[in-house]
Amino acid sequence: MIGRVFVALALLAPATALGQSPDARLGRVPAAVRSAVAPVIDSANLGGLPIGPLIEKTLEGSAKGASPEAILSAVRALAGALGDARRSLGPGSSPDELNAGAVALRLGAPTGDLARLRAVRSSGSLVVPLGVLSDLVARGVPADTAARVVLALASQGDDQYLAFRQRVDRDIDLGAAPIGSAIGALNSSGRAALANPGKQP
Amino acid sequence: MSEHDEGIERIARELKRAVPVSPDLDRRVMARVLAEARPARARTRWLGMGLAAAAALAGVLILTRPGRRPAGVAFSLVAPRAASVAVVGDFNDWNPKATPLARTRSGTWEVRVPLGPGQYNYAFVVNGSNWVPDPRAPKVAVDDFGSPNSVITVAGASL
Repeated sequence: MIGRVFVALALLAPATALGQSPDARLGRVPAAVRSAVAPVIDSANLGGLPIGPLIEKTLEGSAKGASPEAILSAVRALAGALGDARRSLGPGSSPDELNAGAVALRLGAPTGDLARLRAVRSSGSLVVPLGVLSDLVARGVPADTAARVVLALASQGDDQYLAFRQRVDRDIDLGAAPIGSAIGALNSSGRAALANPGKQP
Repeated sequence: MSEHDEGIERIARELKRAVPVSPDLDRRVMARVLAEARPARARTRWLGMGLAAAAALAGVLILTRPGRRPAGVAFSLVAPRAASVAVVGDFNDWNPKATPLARTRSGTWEVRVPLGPGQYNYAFVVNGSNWVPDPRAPKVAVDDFGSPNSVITVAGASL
């Protein structure tokens, strides 16, 4: 049995060594792109990072007609952010959490705030809070403010996070400044928590 | 003064006359009102608890079903002059052929995509080559390829 496993590994190893990714989805991208990103994806895989986001980034770049260099640069940046996210959020984080954390970090969220968010919500998923953080930044709220606001709401459930984001969206659509909308949408307990981010209200 | 006028005046006097009222009338009326309201409130509470239990049970049944997928997220784009619109994103490997939108009479293109909990980047591809972000959703601030994406966060109990 062990011998068969070794034979199978020996047959698979050359494929990786030649830069062929184990994920069939990369078969859609040009060979030049595939060979460029394969070492980064293999390295992330060996390091225990989720490779799904890296493959999706490759597919996105390829679909948009980006050059292999641009795709490689984006995949490298994302792989680095995934590693940073794991350091901030902890090794037990889910792939979705790491991906959301990587996006938040690339947007400029402080690593310390991600670690504090994990500490406060140790038992729940961080995908929605981190997603809301990214949404706020996308709406024009400065990253450090968005991170603090999300941290101030850390004791809330996912539904409250999404309701909060909708209030911010509505206020911005009505003409309010993004940063004022984010802070204004916090309720009184949230504002109190904003003064001491990371502490349970 | 006619007999008719005298009658009206008498009625007016009667209406203006102070009626002797028991000093604890207010208390007795409120006690009665509260006694009437209590069963209704209790019924509402039990009905609410029943509905909540049913919703929780339904949620559990949906969440524990093998291969569970939520009902779907609606994507739409107003593009009356477009010949085709597709949505591409993390959920379909950025494949422009995977998720075409259907045109309505008003010129709005729509599709509903089953998405599990998570955060997704996406964009619309109009006429097969024109990439446009969703005008109704926030755009991702980090743009790696010179063509901004939109972002959507889907919540779920399994997160």
